[in-house]
Amino acid sequence: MIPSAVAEIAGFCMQVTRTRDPPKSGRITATKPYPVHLMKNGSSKHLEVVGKPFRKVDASAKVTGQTKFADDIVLPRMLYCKILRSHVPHALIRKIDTSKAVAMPGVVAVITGKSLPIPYGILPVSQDEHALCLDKVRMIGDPVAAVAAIDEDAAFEAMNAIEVEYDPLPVISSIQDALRSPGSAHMDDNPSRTGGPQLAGENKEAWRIHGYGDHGNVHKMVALEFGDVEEGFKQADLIREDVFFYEGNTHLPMEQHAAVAQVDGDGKLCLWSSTQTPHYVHRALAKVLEMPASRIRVIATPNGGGFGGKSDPFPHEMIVSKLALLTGRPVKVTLTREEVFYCHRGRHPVLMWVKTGAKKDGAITAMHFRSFLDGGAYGSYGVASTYYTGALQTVTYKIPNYKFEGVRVFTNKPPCGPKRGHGTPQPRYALEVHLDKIAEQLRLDPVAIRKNHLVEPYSLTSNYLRVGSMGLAACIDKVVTASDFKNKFRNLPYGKGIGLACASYLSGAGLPIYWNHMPHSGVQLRLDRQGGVCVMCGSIDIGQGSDSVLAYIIAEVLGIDPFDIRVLTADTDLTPVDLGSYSSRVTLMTGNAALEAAERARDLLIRAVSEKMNIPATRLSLSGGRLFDVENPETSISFAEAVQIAEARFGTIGTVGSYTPPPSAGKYKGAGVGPSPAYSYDAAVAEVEVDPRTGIVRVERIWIAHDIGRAINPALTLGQVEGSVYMGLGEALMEEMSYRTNRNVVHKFPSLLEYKSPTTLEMCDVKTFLIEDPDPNGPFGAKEVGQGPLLPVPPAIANAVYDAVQVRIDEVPITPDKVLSAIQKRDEKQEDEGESANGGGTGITRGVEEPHRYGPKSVPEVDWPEPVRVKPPWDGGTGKEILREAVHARE
Amino acid sequence: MRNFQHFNPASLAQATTTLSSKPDAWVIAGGIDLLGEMKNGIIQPGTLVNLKTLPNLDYIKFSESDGLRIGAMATLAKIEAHPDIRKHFTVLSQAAHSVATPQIRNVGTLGGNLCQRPRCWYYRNPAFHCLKKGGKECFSVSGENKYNAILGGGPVFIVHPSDCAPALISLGAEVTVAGPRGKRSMPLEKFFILPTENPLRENRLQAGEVVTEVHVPPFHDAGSSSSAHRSVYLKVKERGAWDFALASAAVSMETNAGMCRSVRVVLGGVAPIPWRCPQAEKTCMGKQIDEALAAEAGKASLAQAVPLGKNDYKVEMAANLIKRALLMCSASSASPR
Repeated sequence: MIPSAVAEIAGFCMQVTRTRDPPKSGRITATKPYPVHLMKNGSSKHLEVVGKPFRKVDASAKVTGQTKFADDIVLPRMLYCKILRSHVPHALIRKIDTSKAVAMPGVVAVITGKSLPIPYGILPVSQDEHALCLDKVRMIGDPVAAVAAIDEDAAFEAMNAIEVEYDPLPVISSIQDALRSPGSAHMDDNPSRTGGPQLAGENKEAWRIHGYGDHGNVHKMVALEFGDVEEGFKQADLIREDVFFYEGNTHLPMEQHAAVAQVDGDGKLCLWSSTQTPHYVHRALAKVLEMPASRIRVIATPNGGGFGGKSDPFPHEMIVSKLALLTGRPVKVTLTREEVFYCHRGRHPVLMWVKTGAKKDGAITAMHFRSFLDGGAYGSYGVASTYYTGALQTVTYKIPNYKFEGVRVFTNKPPCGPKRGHGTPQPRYALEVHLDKIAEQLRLDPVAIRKNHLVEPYSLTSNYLRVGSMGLAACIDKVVTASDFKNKFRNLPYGKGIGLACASYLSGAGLPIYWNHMPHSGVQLRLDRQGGVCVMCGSIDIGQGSDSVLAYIIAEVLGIDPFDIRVLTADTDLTPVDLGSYSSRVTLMTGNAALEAAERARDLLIRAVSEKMNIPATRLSLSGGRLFDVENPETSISFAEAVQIAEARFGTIGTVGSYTPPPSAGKYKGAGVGPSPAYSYDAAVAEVEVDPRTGIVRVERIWIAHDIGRAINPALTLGQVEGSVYMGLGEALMEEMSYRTNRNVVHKFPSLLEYKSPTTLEMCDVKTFLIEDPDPNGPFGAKEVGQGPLLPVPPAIANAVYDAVQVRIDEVPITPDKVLSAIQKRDEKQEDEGESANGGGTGITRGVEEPHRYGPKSVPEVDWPEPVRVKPPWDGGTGKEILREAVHARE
Repeated sequence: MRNFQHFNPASLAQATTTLSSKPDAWVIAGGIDLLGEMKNGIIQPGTLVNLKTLPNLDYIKFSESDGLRIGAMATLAKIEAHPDIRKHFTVLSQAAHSVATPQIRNVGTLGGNLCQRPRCWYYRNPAFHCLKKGGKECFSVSGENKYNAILGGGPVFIVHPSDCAPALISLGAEVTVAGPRGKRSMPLEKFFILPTENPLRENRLQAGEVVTEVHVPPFHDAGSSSSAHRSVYLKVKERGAWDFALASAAVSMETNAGMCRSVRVVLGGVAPIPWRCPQAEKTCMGKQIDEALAAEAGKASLAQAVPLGKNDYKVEMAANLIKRALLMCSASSASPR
């Protein structure tokens, strides 16, 4: 018997739908058009752990407050670090005077950028950060100097005693400013038009935040065309253009970032840090500290929430490491909540323009999508983010011809990066609202326009993303039926509305951050002769339950209790590399690596026992902590005895497993972003109440169906879905990283009070459905769940708001002032014109009655580069780009 | 935050003497607003004079003859839950309930709520030496002013953040303050001052003075059968809890046989002080209140509004709130929309 199974906690609030029968033998028998990773389990036992709502392996420690987070670490003789940060948005550092700080009581060390001059950054192409700014600050909150002192008060006083003189530089605070700033290809040579100050006006370099990037303050421009969009538009019965804006927002983890560094007697450095990516921190530390990686150990402590905000190597990690090396004493830093806001790396504000051609039945003939990303002061994951705003449009509905142009700019604000859904919630919001408008214009049902044109399972998209299992149709059916959508849509009283949206997300990025051919995840398994099992893996549990997933999968294969497994993770000295907890990759990738290691261990046990007991291996099975003969179940031995037999036969029992994603089908430049071993799918229906007198939007209920392939643990899955809905609700209705643009100071009030996020009062009822259609690439068929369910929430709410009050809010968050202003304008217009309200639209789509809207009216003019052109697969394409004509041939 | 002395005075007199003799002494009650200011580096007190240990400052007394008396140290939680306040002064109970979160209401006091400082982003950020802090400019005028004033603004455009103040003013409350030179009382409405009078302050407290009591007078003939008194507080916030008002309306009305006999209408969240709306009151006096009249009262109250650029939504919102609150207070409406 498997003990500890939680009672059916998930049953009452969640419904699991299996579109196929669960694989009886544990083997996924599907004939797929391409090679698949199969579960090599020859036994005939039923699943005993996978699919059951077990508690998390770390649950007891978490709920009793015994989990040690980074800030809980206290070491003898430990020093405390405080970091002085810039209070100006863009300036040259003229002088830093640390003499007063150094002389203060309790101060042990003070460092500036000179101590850590090597640049770093998460992406090899954006090595643009310094642990402490060298000669220039690029945003308010940029670290300038750091203090280590015997206590926090002394460190704080000393930090305030450091004197910095700045020479201010012009400030870039918006996408428009950045595109037009001097030195940019789009600049109009008149600095005053940017609204910035005139100083250093002649010096174009002064306007430039970084000395690299495409030009001026343009960090990255990309242009890709699959098929021929102009040809596609010609075939369309309707062409529609829309403009949307998705405001930036931040992760808001409960735990502030913290790190402790210690140097041991042999001069080796150990860093404990609340990071989602210990491996990348390890690499960055080796680079910045100019130390061999073998002398550095990074231990990721359990994260009190990450959501993407702890995925970059951070200055504070380098700083405490350096201070520990300099002082020989442990050094700790815990960021304040304000500093967490400055670290940011959150959702990019994205301005979007989309033009779609559609047939009368809603079939898309072509889509042209443009995105403008406000990247903030550093590169971070930004190049990937830029591609992501154009990558996943194609994996839901068939888009035979697709063109994407994207530009990311530098501004003097905290840098944006990956937040839950990384670069895809913004275009998904635009796409799903845009589709709703197309449906209305074509007088089509919003359900039909989506469901009738879904991408086929096991197919290639026009941009060469390989879709595997695809349960979106089942998702749509579930939420449409459960919500009674068809009866409610356009039939609810004024002020009440219902909206539908769909989405898809990756189960792990197909490519690593830095180019290599090695596995993305590695697992080592050690079995000891007393029956203990220890699993070691570089993956880090950020609350999503990755430690538990490791234990469940190994327990399933070895037939033991998951709570008997010792899970050792995220320690670069002890565990094999896993790339980190980002891009929803862990369950699939770590899970597959664990599966491989466990199957190898199981095979060793069975082989040894088979020989010893003279029973054919095919008749042996592991279950309930015993190894037994399936044809004669009375013949069995304990798991520990099996390990002893195996150890006697083979020596110490240890196995490894690793996982490398299948190669991507796209071979063009830019094909690295978007491919994934498997895509999850979601459909959501939101029902809202809008008070037309105050503009307050209240989401009453969300029905959401998530195609997860298979839920390794339905209870944890439910938590991820509901958490995503909560976060999506916040982004849709209130969360915004807004900055003050006047006085050239760009800065928001970085506090949990002023940064509005939903409370329990705003959280709506959530009805979750899981669609289980095992994907051949996932362990036991599992796909992701951590991020995808966020994506349909904002557009479903936006569509529901329109259904409720007949105004379009084409800008997220949908705050009361926007709703009220759109309603007010419509009512004024109606009073003026009598019955027929018209106009107020983007001014782009002419000749049709447009509902009133609130949102951006246009996007900036940009000289886009020649696109990389790729023939779609159905057009004889190979995934490679079409070679451009040589430049001289055109001239 | 820097270190400071924490002083428990033996008496109110000792508290006010200390406050007036030490220039860097600040009074602390619940501390909810004060600690935020200290953490943000807006103020750096050398001494905090604690009122929590003083006896007899947290009472709530009600009698039909004297009305309601609330000590300044009464917590918002006690006020919102008090049965007499719920019954007779609904607007106050609702206003207290609308503040922040249960934890904060358990600690926050009435005196603190009335004397809290503005929430303006520029004021709360130490990087901005704004007019409110003795600087030269109110940055909200050309900057972020979504939450700033549409009425009574200039030269500073903060909004007063208190919820209890509009409610109490609608009830005609008086406030008593104690200082080194003794006690004095004034109508609560007169306690608050516009920035034109003093851009640095929001009220008439002088050095060393603290609020000690709020008194709500009894109604004239609350017992008579044909007359009724109703009051209501409506607050629009961006989330259901832990938020300040985008706009709020407090209305307190006496009706006789369906006619409005007396009414006070006060807006919160739209002006540097709780904003009394005599136009709305005049519109309603002596009349039966219906949708059209209530809407007219709302519109009239906002006729003078001057939005700053990002807060014009407040005009419509506040007018709608007045309309809705008036309808809720008049007998004629069952469920106003």
